[in-house]
Amino acid sequence: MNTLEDRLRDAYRAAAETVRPEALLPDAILSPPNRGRGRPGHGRLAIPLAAAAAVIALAATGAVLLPRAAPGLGGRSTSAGGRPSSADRQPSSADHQPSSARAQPPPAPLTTPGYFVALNWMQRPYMLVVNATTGAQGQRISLPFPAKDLTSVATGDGQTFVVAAPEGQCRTSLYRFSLGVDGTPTALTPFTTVPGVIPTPWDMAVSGSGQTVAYDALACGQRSGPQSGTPQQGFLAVVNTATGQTKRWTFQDNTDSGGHVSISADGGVVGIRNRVLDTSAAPGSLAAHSRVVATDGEFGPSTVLGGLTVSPDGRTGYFSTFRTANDKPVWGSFRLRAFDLATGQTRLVRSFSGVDVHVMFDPTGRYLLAGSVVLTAPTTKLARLDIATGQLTQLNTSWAVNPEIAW
Amino acid sequence: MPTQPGWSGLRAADRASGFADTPPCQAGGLLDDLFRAHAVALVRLATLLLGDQQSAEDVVQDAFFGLYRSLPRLRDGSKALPYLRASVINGCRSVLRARKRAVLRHVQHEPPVWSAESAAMAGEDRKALLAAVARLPRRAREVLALRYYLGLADGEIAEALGVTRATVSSTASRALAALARELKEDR
Repeated sequence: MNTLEDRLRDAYRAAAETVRPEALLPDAILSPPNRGRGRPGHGRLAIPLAAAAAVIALAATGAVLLPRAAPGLGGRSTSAGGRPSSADRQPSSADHQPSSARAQPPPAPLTTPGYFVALNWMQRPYMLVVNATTGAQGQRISLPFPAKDLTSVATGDGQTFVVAAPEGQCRTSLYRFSLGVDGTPTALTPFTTVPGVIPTPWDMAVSGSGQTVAYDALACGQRSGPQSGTPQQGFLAVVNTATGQTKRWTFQDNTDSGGHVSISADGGVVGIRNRVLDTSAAPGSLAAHSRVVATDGEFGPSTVLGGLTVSPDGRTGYFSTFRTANDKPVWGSFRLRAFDLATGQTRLVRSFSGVDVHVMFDPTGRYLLAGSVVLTAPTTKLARLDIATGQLTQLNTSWAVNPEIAW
Repeated sequence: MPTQPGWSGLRAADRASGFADTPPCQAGGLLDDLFRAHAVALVRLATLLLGDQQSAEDVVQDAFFGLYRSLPRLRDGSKALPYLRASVINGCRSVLRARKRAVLRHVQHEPPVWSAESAAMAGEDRKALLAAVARLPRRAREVLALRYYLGLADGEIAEALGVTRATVSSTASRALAALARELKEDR
């Protein structure tokens, strides 16, 4: 065998080994095949990896696109950031039967909050209660202000919700309401006002105790639109609603700098756009005090980042990426990725059909809801991902129109 | 009011015009087995052709997704692996084409695993050799990776690339000769 060919083999082997199997497909390498896969509630199952099998499973659910009851869920609550395993990555034959012919087990109750609130963004936005197990539409929530003023809804514990509505052009009123165990909402009551106005589609998030509210807003006195003489200065604010203490980090740019906001349960970490911020940081410039998690183009050419969501334990930032072609999203290119804030490592969680996917955690951090838009469905699809097992359950979302979720 | 609060701001019309539907179909244990046995090697192959793991993962995902969609039409299970290999090769070509366009827009990429900036691979000789490979024509790079990394026979390489066996053989010979010239050594 000649030297050059040997050297080629050696160089290829060395370069190939920079791709570590345990980081890429942990279970594929570490666990033996398990043909008894696919039964709900059996925890980690045979087929591994975030990548292809995930695409396959999601393609199955994405292609069928029929509302169906959720399978039973595991009852153990875990912290976020666990590695998805396998249950639904390998589609079972039942996944491909027409939904009418499929035997559907009755939905098992969640150990996390059984209901979430969705803010449907239509011409006249409205909020409604949704069954987190099935996606069934519940009661609409009455507003004490005009629907057009509805700005954002958030919760930290899944029981007490905070709703934002502008008060004039300088401040935002915050309202509270609660959900009963049967999903019945109480009336909204105002409890405080905070500086700035949250423009749509900027956002708000609430810590687990409900005491800390993070939001992005425009400073008081600055008007939007061309009549404004000065550029608008956006900012991220973190407010202790008990003491009124507020910290601000200003955006470098103007109105384009806002976006989805999330906060850890202890209020210590805020995610905004593609950045994470330690809320103990000194006020000032957001760019100077926060950390970039990912950038456009980082995950391949023409790859665009979606919104970042910090897990409740504050250890992981989940964000979406998708490819574009001719400035249009490419079907099937949506990937959910997780950034470990401690190590700085990013891993692929799984793929989703459609594009423009947005994620929201339940308060325990075990489940996240991923919403996506596909051409074949007039409404937004919502899928509930069990972070611990990787099991993905499609919810009935015939009601969903670009919903903002508070769970 | 912007139309997509809470989302990344794409307009519905933009979304719609960018999509294609995907037919429902069936998948079986074949995918499981293929994935378990070959996913890592395919990601590694794509990494060798592309230089970075993230793009390689995407390409392999797309290849498995394509296989999944094609399963109902795939009568011979033994064709699945060649299909996957060919899909990965084609996916890599697409990425490389897109990169050429991206370079014009000054999009930055991670340095390839064989580059001087990459600390991932030890050994100057290996880096120099793979850097020389990276300067070869696309088909030559593909042939070399399939032959010397995956260890495929020329017939299998021909199937993956959609060319004749003779083309594979001549391409490999020319590629090795070019490498030897560049590295100023005898084969």
